[in-house]
Amino acid sequence: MKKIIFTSLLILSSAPCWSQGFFNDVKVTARAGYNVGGTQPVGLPASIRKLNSYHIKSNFVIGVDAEKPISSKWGVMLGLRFENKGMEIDATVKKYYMEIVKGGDSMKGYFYGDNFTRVKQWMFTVPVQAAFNPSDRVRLKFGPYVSFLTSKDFSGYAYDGYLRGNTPVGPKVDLGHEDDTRGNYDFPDDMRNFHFGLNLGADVKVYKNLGAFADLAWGLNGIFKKDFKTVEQTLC
Amino acid sequence: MKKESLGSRHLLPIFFACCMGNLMTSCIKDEELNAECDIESAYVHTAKATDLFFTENDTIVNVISTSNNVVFLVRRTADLTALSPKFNLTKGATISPESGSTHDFSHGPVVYTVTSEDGQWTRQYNVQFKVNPNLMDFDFENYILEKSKYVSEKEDYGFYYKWYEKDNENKTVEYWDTGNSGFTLSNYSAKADEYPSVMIPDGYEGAGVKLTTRTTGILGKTFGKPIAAGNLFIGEFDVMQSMTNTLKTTKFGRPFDKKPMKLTGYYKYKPGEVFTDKDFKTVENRTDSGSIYSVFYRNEVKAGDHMEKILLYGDDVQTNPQIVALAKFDDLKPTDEWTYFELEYKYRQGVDDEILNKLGYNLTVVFSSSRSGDTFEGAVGSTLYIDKVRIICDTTE
Repeated sequence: MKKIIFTSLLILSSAPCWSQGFFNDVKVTARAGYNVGGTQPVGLPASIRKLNSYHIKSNFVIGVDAEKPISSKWGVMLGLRFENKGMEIDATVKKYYMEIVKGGDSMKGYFYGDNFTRVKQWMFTVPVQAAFNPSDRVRLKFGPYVSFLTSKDFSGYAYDGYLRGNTPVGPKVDLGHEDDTRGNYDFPDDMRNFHFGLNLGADVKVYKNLGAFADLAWGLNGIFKKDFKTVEQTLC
Repeated sequence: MKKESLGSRHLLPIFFACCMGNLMTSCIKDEELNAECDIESAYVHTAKATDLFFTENDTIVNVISTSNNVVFLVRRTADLTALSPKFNLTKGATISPESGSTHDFSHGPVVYTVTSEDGQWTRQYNVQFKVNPNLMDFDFENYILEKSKYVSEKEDYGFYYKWYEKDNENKTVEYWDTGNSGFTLSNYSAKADEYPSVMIPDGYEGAGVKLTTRTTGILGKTFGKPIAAGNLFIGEFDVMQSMTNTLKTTKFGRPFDKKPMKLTGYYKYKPGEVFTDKDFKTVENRTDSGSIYSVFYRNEVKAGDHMEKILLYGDDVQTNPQIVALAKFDDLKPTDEWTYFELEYKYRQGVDDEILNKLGYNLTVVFSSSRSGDTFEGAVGSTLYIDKVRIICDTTE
């Protein structure tokens, strides 16, 4: 459940440079793209019954990669990206564990109703990948990455339902629709500053030095710190 | 999500389809079996309901989520040896003994256990058939420290005072309630003495009740409910709507088959220093005032061809047209000494003796440390002490 899937796709401009020594065959690629996935557990917890809406927020990615060939088809790639991963999700949940914390006091329990979550994270990502070039036009990539977050936001609210205190059979408290009757939460401090995972992708040359790419990132640690239990899944 | 890809070769659409497919659709798991196990309501079907009950309405009891007691009010002459109550349960839950099975209720409550659909959770309920206690003397000597169901049983906090009464047979009766259980929601780790409604050992005689207006902390403020007045009332507090519609949490009144004439008792009052509004902003030149009142009302209204039971709530307890008589302390002056009060019920309409005998009227008595505490206006620290409350009735004069 502590995984992220992320896809990015768009323009790639590739320009070989450097002329000497170790770097003389290094291929440098600058890329600008758009992350179209979202932060999402691989396999939602059973408490999520229905996704009512799912919006990707402006998820730009810009970056640069360098590939050092080690044979005619294989190479090693190192990159640096600056990217934004964000989304808004509205789901109907059942028996969804949550805790509303403010100023040391908290209200926790199991929520039955609707839940809205907003996630926004800016980060630097360093992918290290093996590259396979089956042709001049196509490059397949696979390897690990690490991300360092520069800003983060995780907030949302439980609304139009009821919270059962402490246990799934505890006393009911209705949560309403308006700002002061729903259960708001906001937990940026509990989010991790560091992500790692695996990347899988393809670059395709389309015209001269321009191309397209698609990447899939699979996060291996959750976006929340390990001891964080405030919402049921580490991702939402 | 726009599905456009510059120079799409085979890989892009495939990736795209895989990822999106995985993200969006395959994630919803099969629904788990329900963990809830409540009795939502209980009812008795019998050939001659009126042998047992005063009215048809008394054959159904709605049970709030905090309660583990199901109480049917019956006639003094009712035969309780073979009754078969039925239950509406939360989805998938089962009950033991079975719904509709016959038991002898003449020796007190029968315990029913409800098990959730997933088999992981149970709740026990005491189901009883009782004669209305018609209590009139209240010394507040009987109390317990109740553990909030919002706090894990492992924790040593989450206890607050709850008062109960004894009926003529010396059996425990739930009669008074307070907002204490709602206070837990925002002030989770408060100690029993830090709650709005607290027992004091040195009342006017024996133990007494101390009601204090408290701040609900940052969490309470977030929900637009910055203060909690100490309250004590005849009726039931239902925590369910304490976030959405606070005025509906106080279910005022219990059936009463006498005609109340006077409300008497002893009090002390001290207003808090700084009066604040519902946004917790200071209101200059306003002094808090406590409130003491009692309402006697007709508890049924005509709904089509039958009569429907009603309750008065925080939003209409002093204004509802069903009110028959109201006794109210208009000018509660601060005093450091135990001070006697005597309030007369002012009748707005006549009382029908037959309806009275059939428990067609409800009575509530309300004490609050801040008069406008129900709308979150008041002064933190306002304190009202109460003891030795009496309802003087027509028949006892």
